[in-house]
Amino acid sequence: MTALLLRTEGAPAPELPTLLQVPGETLWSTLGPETLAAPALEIAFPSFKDGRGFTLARELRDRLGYQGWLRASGDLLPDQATHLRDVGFDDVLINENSTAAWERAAMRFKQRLQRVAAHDHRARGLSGDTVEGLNAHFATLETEAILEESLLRRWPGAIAVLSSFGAEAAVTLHLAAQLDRFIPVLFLDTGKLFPETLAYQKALARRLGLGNVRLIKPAPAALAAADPLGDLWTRDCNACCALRKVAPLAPEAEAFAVLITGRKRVHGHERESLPVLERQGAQLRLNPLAAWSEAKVEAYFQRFDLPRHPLWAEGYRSLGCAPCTAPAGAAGPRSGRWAGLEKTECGIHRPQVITVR
Amino acid sequence: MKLITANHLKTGRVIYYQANPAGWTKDPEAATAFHDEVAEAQLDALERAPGDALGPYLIPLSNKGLGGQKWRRESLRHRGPSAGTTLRLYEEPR
Amino acid sequence: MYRYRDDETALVLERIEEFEDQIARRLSGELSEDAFKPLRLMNGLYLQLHAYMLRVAIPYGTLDTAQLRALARIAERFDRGYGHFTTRQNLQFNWIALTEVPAILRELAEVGLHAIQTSGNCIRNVTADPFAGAAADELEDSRPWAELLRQWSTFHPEFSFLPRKFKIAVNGAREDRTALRFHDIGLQWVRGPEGAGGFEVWVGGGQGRTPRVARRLRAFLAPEDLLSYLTAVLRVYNTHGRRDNLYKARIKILVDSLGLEAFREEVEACWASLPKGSLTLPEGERDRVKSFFPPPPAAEDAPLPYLGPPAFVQWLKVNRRAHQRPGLASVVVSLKPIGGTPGDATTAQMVGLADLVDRYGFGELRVSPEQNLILPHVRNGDLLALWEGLSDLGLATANHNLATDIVACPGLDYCNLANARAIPLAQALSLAIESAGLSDVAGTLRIKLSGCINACGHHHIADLGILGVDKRGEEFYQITLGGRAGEEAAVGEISGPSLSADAVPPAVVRVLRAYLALRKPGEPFAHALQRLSHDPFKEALYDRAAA
Repeated sequence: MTALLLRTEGAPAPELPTLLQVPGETLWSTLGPETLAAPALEIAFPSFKDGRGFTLARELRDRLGYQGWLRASGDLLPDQATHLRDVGFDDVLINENSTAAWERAAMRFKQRLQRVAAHDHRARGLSGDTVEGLNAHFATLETEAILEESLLRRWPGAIAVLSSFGAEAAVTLHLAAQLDRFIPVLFLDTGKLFPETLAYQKALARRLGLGNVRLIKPAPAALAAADPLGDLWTRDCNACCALRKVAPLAPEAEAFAVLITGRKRVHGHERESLPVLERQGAQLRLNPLAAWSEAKVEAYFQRFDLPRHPLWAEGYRSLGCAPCTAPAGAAGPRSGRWAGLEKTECGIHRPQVITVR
Repeated sequence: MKLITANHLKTGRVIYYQANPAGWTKDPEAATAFHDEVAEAQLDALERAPGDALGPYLIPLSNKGLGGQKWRRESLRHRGPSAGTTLRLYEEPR
Repeated sequence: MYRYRDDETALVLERIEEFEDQIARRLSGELSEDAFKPLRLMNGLYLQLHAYMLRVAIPYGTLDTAQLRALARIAERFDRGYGHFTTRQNLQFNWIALTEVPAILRELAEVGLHAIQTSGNCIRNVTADPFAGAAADELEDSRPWAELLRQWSTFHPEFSFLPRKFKIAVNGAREDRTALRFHDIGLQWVRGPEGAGGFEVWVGGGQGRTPRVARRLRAFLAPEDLLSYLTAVLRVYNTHGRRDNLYKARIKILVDSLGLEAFREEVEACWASLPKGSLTLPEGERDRVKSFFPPPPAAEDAPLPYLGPPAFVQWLKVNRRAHQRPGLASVVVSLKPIGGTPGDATTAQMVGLADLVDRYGFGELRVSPEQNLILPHVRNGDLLALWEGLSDLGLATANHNLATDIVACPGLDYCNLANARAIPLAQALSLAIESAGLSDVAGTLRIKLSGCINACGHHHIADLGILGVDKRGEEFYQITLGGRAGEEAAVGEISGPSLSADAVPPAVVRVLRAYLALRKPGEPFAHALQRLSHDPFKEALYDRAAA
């Protein structure tokens, strides 16, 4: 018998302690503390027609919070490889002579029609790697490979895209949608956006088939208290960003271990030395386009015939809220943001930083 | 006496077992009628090595040959449906 | 109409490749029949009496003309020139060879059709109101919700090996035309406590061996919670449903044995344990799917035609249904010609109908759970021309919901599971009722006929249900009375000893005559049964002299 890895393709198999056997027909409610404390469990399917093992795996993860290794074994068909993979099994015990059939089956169907509630146990944090180590690893990969590894293997179910649906957003969103149409996309509807941005958001989501766009708005009570007339931006734009972007984002983002952004080094200022992966508080930020040039972005738009934001044609190169955004000037793509002010970032990516231009 | 029948794996069509030469035929008249114990043994052998035969089972025959209590269903399997659009469109089952 | 995206089509094509691979492994002997059977069932391929039968999924009963033409081509090339529309809004081909299935599936995939999950222990085709998007009594179009459920349930990694099959129906109209109280899960659109729309959830209905009316599981479910809540229901069923006895494996049995309260608690507890987020339906996704089901086309407010041949006027009276929009009508295309095979359509009929639907029906048709076809949107001004075209095709029988609009399963002529034939009796009944002059006069009266206890003919929910049984090698038929599928759901009651095939048509004619004699003006059959009890009708059925 040999173990076939289901979720860490290409990576070496980990050293596993002895696995505790759990028959597939076991009721989740009868599992005792010793079982739940075991670092690795093997769920044995009595018959391939008996699908209880699939639900048992989900109850272990969702209801019982089990974070250890899950192996499937017993009477299973290679045609069940992706079922096992997508309910959260880490590997499956198979006969050596059926390895080819299992590998073929496991390679199929990377996309799913539905969202599976797969909050993966290992998705929180780095499970042994370091930010530096991962950045070194990612440096050896193409952008598509970085995203595939991040979405499908490292942090499935715990990663979201943070998108402004702005000037270059289509690239990140298109890359993500190829892997998972249902990846959560967090969009901050601040109440001060250009109407063109709102229209573009709907059109782009439809074009890419994004099935999980979450519109995040500031709470009406907070707005009524801090900015009843909607003119806070004229007096204190940091406070306005905090009210309309930073504060509403925080609780939504908490659910995720990693947020993907479209930030790039060529944006300048604080972003000049942007790494692909960085910590932000308890969370990680993934910036897969960090090293991309403007030319590369443009080429990507052309290659996939992606629609540009309607205001691109009017010279806008970075799109935030309407009151604080102007077409880009000679000083770079983000020079239209808070033009004439010392402010260069709204604060959702890092604490407020004032730079002198 | 019993016949052994099954459906053909590739087409699903009704087939009957012939002992000599060993094989399957569409014609129940050409199929071999077995004595009961021999029929059971032959069926066991076929179940172990079905080849292209799906779900072989025994048809009990009446004293006069094809007939008997189960024959209504078996008659339909043999001759095809007694009713339905198939009859209107085709003269005999393909 | 929902359009598959490229990645969805790619998924279907990958599945076809997978099935092709499985067929090859079966033919080479690498896979035994025991291992192959659940895999072939998941692709909708049954072994029937004479050949394989392929059941094509028609999602929530909606077809466009390209799809109808493809079905006609497949019927011509791979089958015997016809297809059979079923009581779950699907289509069956009865003469399929295993080796030709991949080619058929590829042709289906080209028009966005497939045969996935129309069989096996998984979630089956989600059915919906066949008049969705057109019905005058519609509260909410059920199709986008059926589509969301279709996507959620297709190739679900956790729920593909359930204890038994699982059937879901969604209704968005005031009248329930989906028999949702006879499904494993029935979803009825309602207004919630704060006036927002959502679902009333019914669980544990079914027909077959142990017919049950569903119980109300939840009075109001917010629409964004649809998928997460159903995940909880399926998870409880997958865990606790019986796997030791085929006949006790449906969710209705589980709800019975736990009791509704305890079952509900299990579901709510499971629901609470699900991580919120990925299963919650964001408004954006609901809007995206809804955008594929635009409102019906505008039409000039032309009046209904009232002039024409008497047969046309009669057809208009019986087969037309009122539409949401002025100037439009919905039309039922009867697949129940007098003396014909219920639910069958020939290649010529399908092709001819496709042309008519393009010309007069905005390219869209529906399959009803009563084995008829429906054109949901027809301009009033086109009704006469449509009727003329339908008449040429033999599709203009004016008997929607009447006594000759008989539902019948294929029965022992085709089906492995049957005990008796159904089609010959349906034909004889239809002729007898018509020649007795009773079809028009009796009004809405549903007769449904099943060839065995699996009840694919839905006889349990018919005003007059007929169940074929085998008595000592002979075909006999049990009659039930009083089945109802809507809000006042009820299982039909057996009226007495079974009758021989010859005795059934005169017996049914007697029952109809008794109803006409006893009814109050305009009183439907179902109400007459309630008012008078079944006794006078049983008397008529068995020709026992009544006072």
